[in-house]
Amino acid sequence: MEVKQLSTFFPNAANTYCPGCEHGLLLKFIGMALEELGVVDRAVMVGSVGCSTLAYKFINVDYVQAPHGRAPSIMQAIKLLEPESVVFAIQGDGDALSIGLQELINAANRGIPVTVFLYNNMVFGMTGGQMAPTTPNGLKTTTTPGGIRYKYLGPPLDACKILSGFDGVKYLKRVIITPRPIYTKDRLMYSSKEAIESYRAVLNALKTQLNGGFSFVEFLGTCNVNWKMTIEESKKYVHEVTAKMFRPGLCRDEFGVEK
Amino acid sequence: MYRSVLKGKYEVIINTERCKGCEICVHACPQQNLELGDDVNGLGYHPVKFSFHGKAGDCTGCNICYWVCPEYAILGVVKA
Amino acid sequence: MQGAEAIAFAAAESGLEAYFGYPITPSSEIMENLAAIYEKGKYGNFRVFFQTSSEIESINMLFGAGASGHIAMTATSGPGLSLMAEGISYSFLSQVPFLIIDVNRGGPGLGNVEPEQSDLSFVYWSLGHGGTRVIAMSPFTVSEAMTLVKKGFELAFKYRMPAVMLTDGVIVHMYENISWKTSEPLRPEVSWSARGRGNGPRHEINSIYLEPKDLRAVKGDLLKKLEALKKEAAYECYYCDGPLDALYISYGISARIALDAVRDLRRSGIRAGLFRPITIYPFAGEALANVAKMAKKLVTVEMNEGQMAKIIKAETGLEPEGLGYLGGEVPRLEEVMEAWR
Repeated sequence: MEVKQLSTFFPNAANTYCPGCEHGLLLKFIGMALEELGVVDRAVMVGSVGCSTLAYKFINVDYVQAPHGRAPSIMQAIKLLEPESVVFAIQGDGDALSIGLQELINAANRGIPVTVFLYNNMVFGMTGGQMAPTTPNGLKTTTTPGGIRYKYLGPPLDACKILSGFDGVKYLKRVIITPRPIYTKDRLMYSSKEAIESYRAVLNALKTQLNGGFSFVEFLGTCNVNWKMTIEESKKYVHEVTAKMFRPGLCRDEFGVEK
Repeated sequence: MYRSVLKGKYEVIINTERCKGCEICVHACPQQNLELGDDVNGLGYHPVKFSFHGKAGDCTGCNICYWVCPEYAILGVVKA
Repeated sequence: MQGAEAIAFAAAESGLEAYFGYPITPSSEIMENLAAIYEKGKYGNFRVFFQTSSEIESINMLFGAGASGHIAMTATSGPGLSLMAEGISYSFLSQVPFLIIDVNRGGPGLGNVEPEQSDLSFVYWSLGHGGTRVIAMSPFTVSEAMTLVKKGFELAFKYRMPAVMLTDGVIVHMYENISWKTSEPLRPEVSWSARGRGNGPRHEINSIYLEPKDLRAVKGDLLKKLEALKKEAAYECYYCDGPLDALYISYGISARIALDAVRDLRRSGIRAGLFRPITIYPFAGEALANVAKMAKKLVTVEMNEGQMAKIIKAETGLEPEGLGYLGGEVPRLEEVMEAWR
């Protein structure tokens, strides 16, 4: 029996992320959610700069490449002029919280119905693992080689904390997208609970947009290559360190799409 | 696309050209039905392959491999 | 009608769909006038008026509007244009059309808010990184500013690239009689735009080409497009039909003063002429070279340190004598008249 493939992806293209990177997982869930909601034909993806850019070869919906950090501005313009479209962006933590924070918080304040998916892997992945605004102490980056965040940089930036201050945000959630490693007696296993929860978050965020609200979901993911860890170690790190620092959970669901 | 020749209850459809051999599905499969093969795909990785009779038991069609695959290389689990 | 009002009116009449702007002297009046037009709601096409949080947001919203195939515009001044350079560069490679009205003020830095023409080099040579080129036009009357707004939209969509109208505080703030013929609003062909793929293939508005051969191919296409754009070069010539003692070359508000000087010189028997490029890029180099053959002397009159003279040298090889006015000073008629000697 043949399996029905998602029309949101080019059947013969492979994504260009590193093995085990959850960027691909997020992209897959977006593709699945667009199909589930039946909005593939009016979806517009705005690509930001960073590893999230690499989606353009893989995803088969209309695509606009934004400058670094400016995806929210472009999304708002498209949404205002094409109210029927379903506009979303995948932004990295460096893209959204460093260079693009102004655009992001203005978009959140206005509440124009667009969706931002933030993939937080706590480093600048594409440029080679530099410190990001979200980098915690203890994670060695190429610009904090000692693994300690310089004091004057302040603590890691918490996107959900910032955005929870804006009434324009109608759906705000932080989820872990990384499969949790489970150690049984004889072997390592990965749980699929996180993946399913992340998919639900994607779905609910897009539903919120369709209901006319700004939605934002932060995904805690890995960048094992730049963290200089194995895939297994990096997944463990997310569950043991990242998730303690950035608490996952639902911050806001104004339209009750979670139910 | 990889197809097993054995017969069983469920079948995992894999696009081997997308697989990057990250082994997440290999570990995630409760029945240990998935393993990396010996062949090499166009990306230069050993793609995952499926056997009906894994180390722990038959495929139950739980779909976990589909959910955790970041490459969309596992296209789905279907009844054989 | 005041320049700003006229520009706003012409934009709405031409089928403007979205205005994104951030206030900056001396361009704010254009924004204010468009806000008034938007609130009256007379133009059905004019659906979005948006005061952004910065020029960076303005340009990216323009980019979004252009990428989804809508007629969009902003007005700004030098400091804002500097901030917009990033977005313009992306738009050039992504082939996204929109119009920017640059109301030139004294620069660089904060400079002052007096009229200058010092953004010319920036706009002409490369308005952004990586060899960005934009269509650049410069009106010298309020009426012409209105026609150039419409022409700017037309050219931007025809060639799918950003267009800039270079003007200054004088033209935007002066009152002048205008003539405007109401016509159908523009409806450019936008089958390439990204607004949802529908049932067809997807549209990609992209400026990333990781393979050198891909980027080379795209840049090759862009260069071909710029070559084709050359035929759109527009200019005006006054008293250029015979041998000339001096040919003045000037544009924008300086050209008005140069034209007065030429007329006064003609009255006193000196054969002076004026060549006025309407489009700065593409530049009417060939036409200028032909006229220049008849002239004993070439003089550029402009409100900067001689940027036009350098452009003329690059375009035609001619080396005109430059008359430059800096810091927001307008050319003085007597000095311009004297320059023919």
